[in-house]
Amino acid sequence: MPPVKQPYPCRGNVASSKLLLVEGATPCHFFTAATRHLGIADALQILDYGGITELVNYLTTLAANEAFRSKVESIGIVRDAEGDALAAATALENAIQRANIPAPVRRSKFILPDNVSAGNIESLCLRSVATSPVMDCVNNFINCAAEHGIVWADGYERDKALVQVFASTRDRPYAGLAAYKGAWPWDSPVFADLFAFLQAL
Amino acid sequence: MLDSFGEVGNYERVDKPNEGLAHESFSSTDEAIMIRRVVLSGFRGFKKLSVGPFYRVNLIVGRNNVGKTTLLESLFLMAGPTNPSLPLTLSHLRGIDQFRNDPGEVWGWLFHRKDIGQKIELSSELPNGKTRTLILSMVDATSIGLSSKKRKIIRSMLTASSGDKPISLEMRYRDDKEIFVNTASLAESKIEFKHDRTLRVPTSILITGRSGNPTENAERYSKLEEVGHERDVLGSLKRIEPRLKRMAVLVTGSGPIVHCDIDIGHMVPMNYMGDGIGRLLTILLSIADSAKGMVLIDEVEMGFHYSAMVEAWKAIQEMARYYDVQIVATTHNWECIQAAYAVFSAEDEPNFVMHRLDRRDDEEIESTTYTLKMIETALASGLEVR
Repeated sequence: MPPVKQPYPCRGNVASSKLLLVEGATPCHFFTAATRHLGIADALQILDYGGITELVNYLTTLAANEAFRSKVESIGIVRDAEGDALAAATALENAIQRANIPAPVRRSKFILPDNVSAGNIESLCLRSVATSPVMDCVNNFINCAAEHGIVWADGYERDKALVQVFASTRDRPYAGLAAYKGAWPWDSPVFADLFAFLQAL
Repeated sequence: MLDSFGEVGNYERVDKPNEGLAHESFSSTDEAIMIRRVVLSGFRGFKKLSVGPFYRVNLIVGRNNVGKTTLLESLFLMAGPTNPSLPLTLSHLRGIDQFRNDPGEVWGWLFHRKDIGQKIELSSELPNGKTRTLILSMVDATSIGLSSKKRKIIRSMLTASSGDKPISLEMRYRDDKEIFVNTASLAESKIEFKHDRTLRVPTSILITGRSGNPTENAERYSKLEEVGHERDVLGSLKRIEPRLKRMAVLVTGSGPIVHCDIDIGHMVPMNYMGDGIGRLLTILLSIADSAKGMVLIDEVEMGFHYSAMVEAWKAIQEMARYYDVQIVATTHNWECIQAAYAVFSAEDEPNFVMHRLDRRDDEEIESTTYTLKMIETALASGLEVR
């Protein structure tokens, strides 16, 4: 009998008083695994807003939703810093303002990886395994490929490739899905601020 | 034109231009209705409600008993603002045909909390910014002079109560030029209408049932044939019944009925075709008969298989555009919304919008507008909009 395909966990109508809005499938799976680890998965619903360019429209549609208006007390929004954490935070704040979210709803945000640095969710994942011996293999692979003419992106953009290589050593070889299999050590101090944010929602 | 309460079908034509009035001066000509926004006050369950913007095609969604049908009824009254028999038509469409000699029973449910001491105010804003207001109120009938010429007794009361003070429902309509006052009076166990027909407005139709009245459909189809426009409807119906070759009105023992040729050797009465094609025929004939007016459709998805909804919306879109008709329809159906999105998002101009009614508390109902972009987001993300 073929395995039953699990539905995408971050799609659907509002069902909880606390919402975590994330940008795409990788953070969807990552945060689903993280909130399960923290024991708050039942109290916090994770919804995927698609991408940063869709955020205003998603928030506007969400704010019009009957269940949102009747149930939701708190929303947290997460996005990648990419090149500039401050600019990302400002853009996110502007989106929240434009969406006409009812005033009583608490709003908070987290810019990955740490509210300060450039980077993304992959940067945070890599920090959590920075001391793993497997990272030597990952770096060797990257360097070896470079010697054979592969051009890797620089800086935080390279983190996506590094995470992919690291995750390929797991039985669910994607950054988000690997989180379900313990790829990212939740007890690492690099997750402390993020977990505090999630628990405060 | 509704003259007889007893003759009401499950949809009604409002203020059909009367050829007999051709020599009279009209305060309004053939300007399309096309409402942009409405504000309702004191009407049925609405203490106050503002809805808009309306586009050419408008979908109304919301939970049961939130007022979707009531919103259609308010639009129906505004579409025939000088016809004092329309409130009784609304009662009939809700299955109430007989009344005791009691104004509260006859008209009371039009009023918020059945308070006939209050007024109902229905205002509509047009695309050009002009507003039109219809005020309904109960007045002492002794102050109204009914000329015998304009009196029309339409129905006896179920029971008589000779000692009751005469009382009337007054419909006071104000457009940008004039005020029109019409009344329905309850006196001597009868209802009499004072109906000023000098205001000419386009026909508008409210469709509430699953399938239409076969006789009305036959009449409307005949009218189209008379002017050579029957192929407009035939082409659109083919969208959901590709076997359809032609249609004709044939007289049967039950009277004239639209028949369909689907190449089986006999013309098939529309009543024996599926619900979907019968429903679409009723909608399309109503649109064709309401040029420049409104067609109001309760539970538009009724009778359609979900896979036919896209084609049904395309047919409605084509006909509404061709006849310059504004459509306001209600639905509870997810596939109906998806299909509407698929059809109307392909247009260059925004011709579609959806309004959701939500009850905030016992008294307050709010309308939220969903643009096509918001509908797209809701459909993609699974956020509920029905």
